[in-house]
Amino acid sequence: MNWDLPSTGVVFKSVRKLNPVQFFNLNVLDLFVLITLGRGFFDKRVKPILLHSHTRPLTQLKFNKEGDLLFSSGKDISWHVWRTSNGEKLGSYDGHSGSVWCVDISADTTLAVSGSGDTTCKVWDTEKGTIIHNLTASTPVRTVNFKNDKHIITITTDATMGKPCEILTYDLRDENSLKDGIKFFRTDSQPLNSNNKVTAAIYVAYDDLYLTSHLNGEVTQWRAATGEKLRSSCVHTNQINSIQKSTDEDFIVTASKDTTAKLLDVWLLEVVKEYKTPQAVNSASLSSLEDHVLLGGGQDSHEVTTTDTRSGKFVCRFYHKIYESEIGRVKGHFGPVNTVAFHPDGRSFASGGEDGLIRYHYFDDSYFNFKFSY
Amino acid sequence: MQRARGSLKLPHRAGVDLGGLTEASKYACDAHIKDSSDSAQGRVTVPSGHKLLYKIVTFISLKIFTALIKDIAEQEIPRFPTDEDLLSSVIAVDGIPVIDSSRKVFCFCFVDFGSPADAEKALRLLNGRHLDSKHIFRTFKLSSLDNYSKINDEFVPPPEPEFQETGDYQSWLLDKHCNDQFVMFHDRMTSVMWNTKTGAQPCIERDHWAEQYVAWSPKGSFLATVHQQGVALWGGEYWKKIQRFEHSGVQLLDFSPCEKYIVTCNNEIVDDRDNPRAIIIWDIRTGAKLRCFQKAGKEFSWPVFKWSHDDKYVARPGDDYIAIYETPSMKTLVKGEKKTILVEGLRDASFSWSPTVRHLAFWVPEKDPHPARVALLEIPSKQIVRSKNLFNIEHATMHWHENGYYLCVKVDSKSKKGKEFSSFEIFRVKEKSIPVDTLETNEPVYAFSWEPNGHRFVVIHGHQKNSLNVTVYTMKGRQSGIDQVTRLFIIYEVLIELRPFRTVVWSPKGSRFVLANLYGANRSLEFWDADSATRLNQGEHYLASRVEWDPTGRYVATYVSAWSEPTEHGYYLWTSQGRLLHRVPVPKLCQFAWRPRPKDDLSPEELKLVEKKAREWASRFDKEDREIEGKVTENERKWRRAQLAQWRTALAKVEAAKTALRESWGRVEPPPQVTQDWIEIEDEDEELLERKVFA
Repeated sequence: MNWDLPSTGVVFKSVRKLNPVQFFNLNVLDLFVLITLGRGFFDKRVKPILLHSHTRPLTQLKFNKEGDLLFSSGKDISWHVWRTSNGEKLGSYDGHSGSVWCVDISADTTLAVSGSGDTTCKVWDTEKGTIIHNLTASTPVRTVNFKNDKHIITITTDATMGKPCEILTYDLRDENSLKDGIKFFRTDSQPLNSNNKVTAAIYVAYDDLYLTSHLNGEVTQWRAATGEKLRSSCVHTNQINSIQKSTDEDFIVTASKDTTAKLLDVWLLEVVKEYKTPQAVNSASLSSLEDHVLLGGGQDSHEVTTTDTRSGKFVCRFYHKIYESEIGRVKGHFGPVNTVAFHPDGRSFASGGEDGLIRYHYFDDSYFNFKFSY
Repeated sequence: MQRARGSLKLPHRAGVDLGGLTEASKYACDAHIKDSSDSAQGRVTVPSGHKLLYKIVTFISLKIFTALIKDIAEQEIPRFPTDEDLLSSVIAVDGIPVIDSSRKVFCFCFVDFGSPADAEKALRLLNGRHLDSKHIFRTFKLSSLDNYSKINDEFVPPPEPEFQETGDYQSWLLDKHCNDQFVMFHDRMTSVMWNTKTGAQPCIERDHWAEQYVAWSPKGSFLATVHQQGVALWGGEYWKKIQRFEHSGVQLLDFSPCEKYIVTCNNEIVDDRDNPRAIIIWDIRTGAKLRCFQKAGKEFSWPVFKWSHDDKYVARPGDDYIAIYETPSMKTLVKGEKKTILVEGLRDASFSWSPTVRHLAFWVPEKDPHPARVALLEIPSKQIVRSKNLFNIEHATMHWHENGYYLCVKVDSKSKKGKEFSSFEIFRVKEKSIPVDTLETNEPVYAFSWEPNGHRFVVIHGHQKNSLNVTVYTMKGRQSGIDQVTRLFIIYEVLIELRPFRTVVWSPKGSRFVLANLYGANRSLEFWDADSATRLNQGEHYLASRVEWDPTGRYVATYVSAWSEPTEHGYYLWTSQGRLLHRVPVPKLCQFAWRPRPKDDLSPEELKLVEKKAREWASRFDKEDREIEGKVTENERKWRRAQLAQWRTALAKVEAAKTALRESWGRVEPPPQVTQDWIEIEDEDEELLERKVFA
């Protein structure tokens, strides 16, 4: 892990007064705009903090449980960790030789796992940035997930190069399982091929269930304790891009290419709410504080250059979770928003775009004062 | 051949109608017809026994007959003809003139053609044929005589169709809050919406209501939906189907101004000369086909048929003529060989009706030795009321003022150096002897628009492609005691890159107009007030393709249609001052159209009273508006409460499912709840306090 900043951790209390020359003298090239302030001042911040280190599109943003760190992965080979309170980049995890598709952090933040297009999955020491385990799959790794007990990792791989999509489980305590992984979740009854390969996966209900979403818009529910497939439900008409869970782990929100995001309960896999947008949704996140859903999306990346930026709709949209109506939007990205994440305390959020930028927003008063009356 | 014996009476009729035909058939009934071996084919016999028959019977158009008869006479009959054969090969021709001193007498005859096919052919050729203006042939088959004989002499009125309640066609005008309606055709759905203070409220929505597109009638009574099979009209309080017009493959439709008739057109049909089906004129109330016409040429401008303001006449242009038909008979106004008004050099779409009187304005291009000419033609007298010669003109377009006060002819010319420029010839139609004002611009003109209910007009003109001016003129500029066309003010003399306005749309109530640029990447709008010559506001609507004022001039809608743009479909609603009210995205919106209102019936005195009392009434309206806004939020609240209750039941259901499943796994105690999933509104005060402490 390369520490970019002096370990003293410079805190700029009044960045706006610094002129650009001074700014560069301080050797903080990574921080494009830096507004560093402690908690308690955040409600006066309107401008986002731009986290500028990725050179290629973002793939995933993830906060740790406490919310003091933000992990970001992109299509470039290294992935980064940021301090959320001031936007400081703490370091990068170098070691992959392909796009990093997914990351996950263990519940106590000591371990991190990343899956990559180089067909490997690496387990890192979060603090030191060293590789603890190097797990090799046969195809690119699309999703990685820690169980709450931080010893078990479940990954899914892509169905490419004539190989099927697989769900593999590794037990970090068990040397044997680290070689090839265990096919704990049994996909024999319905093999996963390139039509219904896994696009996103998550452990929910405090490790009771494991959910996978598929290319054909299905969501499948597995029992995490036994690996049996419990049920499957076709909720979307097109590819599901991401799944994120609510704080109580009873609900998930799916983001789909069919221009909708849906709120599902994890037990019955029934659609409780639906959020309609004018464009494909790449990522959706649930706030722990307010009844809000955050949706990020935009047109397909290969169509972006053919149209005006205004028609791309590169915005993060806020929807009311219960009333399903749009209540606000935040603009700023130059390309589709690939991934969004609410801070665990619900007072800030991060969005990562196809443009390689992470925008980190603290909500201001207008957000908290906004209430639906009923 | 047996002679057919007619009765002793001969019909003395001035014209031939259906009644006459049955009368004639009765005579023929009396005639005794029998086959005989020595029947000479094709011999023509006339009824005998009449006192006039000793006179020589003459057929004026015998050429047709003889040609047919010769052919037939040469044929051989392959078998012995039966009763049936002979009957069906004989036709009766009615309406043949008999020459005598009175010259008013008509006669009829029977013609045997030998074969049924030939008889059929003759039947078709002769029926309805004008011998001259007074004599028209009516033919029928002898074999169909039985049918005619069965006709009862007593008139039995047809059963009256049951009364269909369709409701008041103008019920929407009685809306308590005077809201306007608009129709949206989007993604196979057709929605009629109310434009209320608090946003659009659906009035009626139907899936697959229309197939191709929809259209309002000019006074807003009917909504026409266009289908593959034809056109259907809807309206009234209950949105029932009022009428349907079967016209397969219909593409275009046009209402008459008073909503009495509708014209439908399918110009791609392979048309039969004898039985045209391309353009059909229908009566809206009865649904009857009035007349069918052959298709227009390859290049034509719709509407092909142009209606006079009172629906009395409809005109169709042709090369060098105007055909005018009278409604409801759809007979040509002009009698004679050509049945049209000849105007040499007249081209398609170079004429138009006055919106208030039966005046037809047309122009003809220059043709040696005659100069180009603009003329006003009075119908039905066909008198030229006013005409003016023009020189060196390339093209002319006619713009009538909505109230028929003025006719502006925009004349496009080219100088010797090839420079294009336009000028205006403005006819003051309402004044004595119709004086003409000429306005020279020396520049090409891109847009012209009359102010409705006013005397001003806006012109967008410019010398070069990159610089355009917008100028407002008035017709009431007084100079030496006479009204003159006078320039009021110029809006822009700036480069087109900055303000490339090419479209001007006046408010239907006048005094305000919108300048719009609806092409290219930089689409913007400006709202102007002509009274104070000030810009009220400016706005931008990305990709907007149309600007639509509502019929009362209170709102302006701009919309992006799926027919012209791939994305951003939806509409923006602005006030007449240019304040943006709503942005409404509508997926695959194709059409947006305000429901037109009929012209108001207020007299000038009443209008003045309204203007006087406006301020007094405004407070009442404001109060009503506030009430409406309150009411809607109440509805919204109800809906939200229902949603919340639903959400709570969903939560309970999930909880039950969770417990059940966990119990079945033998894991009873639930994991600890971390945070509450949703926060009650009552918590608000608490939360605010918390934040204050925090800050």
